[in-house]
Amino acid sequence: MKNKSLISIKFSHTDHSLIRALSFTIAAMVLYIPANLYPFMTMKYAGQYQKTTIWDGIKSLYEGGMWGTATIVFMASIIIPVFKLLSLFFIITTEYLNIAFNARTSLLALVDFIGRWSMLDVFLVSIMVALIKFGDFATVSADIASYLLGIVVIMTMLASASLSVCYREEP
Amino acid sequence: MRNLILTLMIWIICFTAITFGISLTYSWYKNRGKDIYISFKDVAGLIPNQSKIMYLGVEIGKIIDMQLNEATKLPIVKARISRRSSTMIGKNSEFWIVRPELSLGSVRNLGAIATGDYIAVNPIKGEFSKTFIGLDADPVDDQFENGLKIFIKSSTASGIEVGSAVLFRDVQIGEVGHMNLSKDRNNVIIKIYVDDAYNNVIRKNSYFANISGFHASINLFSGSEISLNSIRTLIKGGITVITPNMNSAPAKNGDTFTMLTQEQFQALQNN
Repeated sequence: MKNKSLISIKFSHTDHSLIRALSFTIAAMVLYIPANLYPFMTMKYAGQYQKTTIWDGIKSLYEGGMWGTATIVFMASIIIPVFKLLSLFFIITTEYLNIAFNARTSLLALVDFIGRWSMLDVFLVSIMVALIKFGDFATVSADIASYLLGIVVIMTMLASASLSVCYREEP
Repeated sequence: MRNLILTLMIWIICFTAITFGISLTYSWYKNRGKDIYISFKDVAGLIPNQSKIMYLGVEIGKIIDMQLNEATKLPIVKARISRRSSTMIGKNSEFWIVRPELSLGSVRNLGAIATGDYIAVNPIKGEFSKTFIGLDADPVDDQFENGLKIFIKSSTASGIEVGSAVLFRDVQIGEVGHMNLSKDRNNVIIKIYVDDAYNNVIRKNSYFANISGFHASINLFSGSEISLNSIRTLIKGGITVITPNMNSAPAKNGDTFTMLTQEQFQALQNN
């Protein structure tokens, strides 16, 4: 018998991991908003600098004719994180409300599987930062949104990890 | 119990992250820029999402879009100016495009070669407005804010254009700012800016003469004679100042002088 009450101090293992996963998920969802609003990269070249948000980056890639790369970045930084966050939220709420949903474990496995791809932006920035260092002429530096995105990814990973614990302990 | 403490810690960390995220979103919402629309006659050289609006070298906004006005067929630049700067931009503010100029006549704004063309603004406080009409050229007034501004009345502006040099003993002491016809349309009023350092060169008794281009005179007795001042005045035109003596009172802002005719100038030189 599972104890569903939040007020009660006596939580089962499942409840603990559910609360952890839920708080990680909500925090990730909230942080994902400014991660999209703020610039994730500052490019400085030839005396001028440009701050780029994720959406700006996708747009300029697309307009530059690199629609393949644009699609990959769009998938990695918008579709996958949103899908991940929503499915985590969905898994947790259905579990919490004890709604029968058979595909839950496979959905979680999917979330776990695609999770690694959502770090792409952070990878991109770190590669750019490492590659483009020409002193005053051209430099790329990571901006606040890339840190936020990193935190979002870590939080979703922790959330799915907490959920996995919960499923492992369930018979 | 340890499980509970861990959950509580995670919950606190997440709560902090949530507060942080909400405050970041709120400050973004509060500081998001205001959109303004500036119409120009020509926006060549500006790039959306890259060109900036600058004031005294400080970026106060960015161009986000450029479109053509269907009615007037003039380009309209959509720019986003930062919230903090938007209080300075009243409806009378002046916008103009700064482009590098590299010609025999003048070398200006070379910085824009590296940074790209940008829009400069002369912010004038006042009621905020969404639409502006950009200037065709930069208001030179700013550059010579402390200098002397005088007018020269001339029957013709032949060879002289905005930016032409004003020379004294063949040293440039200023330049032509504006030119327009007088009210009765009989004369050209040339506004010249004299550099701050050379203010006292212009006296009440100064003469001005047009030395643009070259002058050829063919005389039956003395033969032909061609005089050419400098390549720069040949291309961009120029006005020379002659101040016979430095005893006269210095010219004041807004004084009007009359340009010597070619004959008068020649006579003066021969003396």
